[in-house]
Amino acid sequence: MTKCQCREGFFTLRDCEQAATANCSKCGRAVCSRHFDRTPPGGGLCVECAGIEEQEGRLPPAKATTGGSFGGRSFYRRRDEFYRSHAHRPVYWGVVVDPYYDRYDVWSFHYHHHHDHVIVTDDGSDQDVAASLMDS
Amino acid sequence: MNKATLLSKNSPLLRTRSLEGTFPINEAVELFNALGTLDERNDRRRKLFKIFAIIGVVLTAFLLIADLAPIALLTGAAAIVLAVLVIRLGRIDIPNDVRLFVLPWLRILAADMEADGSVTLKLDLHEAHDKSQRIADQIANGKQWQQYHHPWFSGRATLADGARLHWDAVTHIREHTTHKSKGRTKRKLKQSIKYDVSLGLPADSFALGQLASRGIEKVRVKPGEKRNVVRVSYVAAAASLTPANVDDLIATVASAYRQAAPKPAAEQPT
Repeated sequence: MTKCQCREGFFTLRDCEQAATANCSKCGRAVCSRHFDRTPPGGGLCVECAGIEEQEGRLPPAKATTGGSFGGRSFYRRRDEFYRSHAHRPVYWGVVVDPYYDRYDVWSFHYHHHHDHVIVTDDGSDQDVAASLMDS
Repeated sequence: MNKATLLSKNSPLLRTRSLEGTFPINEAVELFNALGTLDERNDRRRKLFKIFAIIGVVLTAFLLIADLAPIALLTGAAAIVLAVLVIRLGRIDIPNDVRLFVLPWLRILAADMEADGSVTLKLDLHEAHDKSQRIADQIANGKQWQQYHHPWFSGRATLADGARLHWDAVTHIREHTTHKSKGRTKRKLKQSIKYDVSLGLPADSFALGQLASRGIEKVRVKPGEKRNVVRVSYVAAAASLTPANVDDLIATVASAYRQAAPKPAAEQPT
């Protein structure tokens, strides 16, 4: 099962635990139904890409009250804008190395020893870093 | 309190314009989302009714001048009905802060909390400049200042990383009116919104670093055995009545997070 590649949280980030159901037509990441915005014409986007598209004026602004309890792309737009304008360095409580988040100065570190290091490869499959290091 | 009660005509929130309690975070977001949607719809209707009421009054005046009294009677009655609706909708109006401040803030908390987490909220929806918020006048530089003190939004929650967050937003207004000649008056107003944030970071996963302040907030740190408590205060000042900006509260919490660094995994308990 491929997990959703979006990261949840605002002040600190963590992995979404849901199963991926679609791929973003911009970044290609596998995302769950909650993190998938179907509204953009020409294919759905992950909410993070949709938030950036909205910022750059290629998507109409979503109202503050849309997106149900989750907030949808308006939440991710706010997060992206805040990280950039306040140079916020969020702590990432996970182990997945994802170049998508290189745009932010994420304080990446793994939480506790029992987690495995995982890299998400281009084909969306998970790769155990520790196992790869042992192989090499 | 469920959603139906909160949104009903007899809703305690609309009646007393205040809300206090502990709610599951997702329920709280849904409640305020519904309130925001209701307020947005009411604002739109009120604006529309107001425009039609004004058109009705103008039309009635023209019809009366044109000696078309029976039609003027109808347009006049319609204008009165619309004006009554505008007043009634105005009475149940909720400040836009619910939609533009409380809702985005709760969504941020929901994103940083476990799905089954709870949030304790205390919200006062009265206007900061309301007479109920007035406190004793102050004499400064020989001038008498009317003062308003409005603690309008506070709460606490435990976040998914184990941090305990407490926030408090208070609006303080000082107003001085000078009476000039020919009945003219000059009003001077100063508003400050103070955000106090306390963030209790688990000592086993966060280490306190050097104080990192932008210079516009006051930062205090209290190391502890189980938790390191970071307190940050920030004051947003304005020379007029300005709505609160949720980014100020977000930046205050972010500043509290900046005071600590995550401990390397090797230093953490397994």
